[in-house]
Amino acid sequence: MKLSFKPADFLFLAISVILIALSLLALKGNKDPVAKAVIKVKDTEYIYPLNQPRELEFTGELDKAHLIIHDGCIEFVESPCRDKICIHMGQAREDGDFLACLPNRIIVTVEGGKSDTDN
Amino acid sequence: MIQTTDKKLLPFLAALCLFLAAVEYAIPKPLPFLRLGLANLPVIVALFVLPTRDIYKLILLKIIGQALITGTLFSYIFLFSAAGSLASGLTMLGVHMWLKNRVSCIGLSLAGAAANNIAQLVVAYFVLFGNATRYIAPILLISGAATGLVLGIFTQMFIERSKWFRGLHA
Repeated sequence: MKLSFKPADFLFLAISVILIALSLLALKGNKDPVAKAVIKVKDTEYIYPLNQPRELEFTGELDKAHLIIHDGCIEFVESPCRDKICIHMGQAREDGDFLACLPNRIIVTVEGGKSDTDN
Repeated sequence: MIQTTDKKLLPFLAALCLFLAAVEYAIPKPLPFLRLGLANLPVIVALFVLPTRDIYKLILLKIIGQALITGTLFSYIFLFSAAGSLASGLTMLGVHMWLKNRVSCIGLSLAGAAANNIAQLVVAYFVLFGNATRYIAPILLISGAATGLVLGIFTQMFIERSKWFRGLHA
């Protein structure tokens, strides 16, 4: 089976690939300027902007966990889990940062805002 | 461009659009906006055999035919398909007039698919999704380029082998 590609075909193939690349770049780079905390508690997701201070309480697998949002970051302050790793993880503030409390099934990820790759 | 005196060719190709739209409608889609674009085959073929004026007519007939088959004529989805078909049809026509023999059906189909997807994304941005359009853009562009490539290759093979098509040139 022979296929007669012609020179200009590759031009449009290239254009298609460039369009795809641009769309992927737009997806990655052009994020919402306000960082948000996406908090997954068991199977439910909650989203809060990090630019407004807030105190949060979620009931996870074990019991109530206490998180606070302040100064553009989010952190665990109280958790019913045994090792308190979630509290020791400290603050999450930039795109891609995360906090996790596996025993209590609470996962926090930060989306949007300034990220390391923007510099 | 070959001037054909065959008055039956335009209605035949329009009917083929209608038929292929029905075939496409019968194929399940994972997402509503992921399409194979089968009904573009007659439009690509038409570029080689119909006068420009008839190609405009074919594009309009294709838009109406597709909307009738899919039942979207008076819904907002019609905006998407009309914008997409118009953009891809006019782009393929322009590319074919500009590059003539230097481009095959593969390039034409890819150009049409790209134009179709850009038009649909523009409509999506203003009508439906707003800023979230960028989340569907990669899926739409990747699947569009893939189906456009496959359809282009198929159409090229068809044009090279079809006795019917050769007969039109004779």
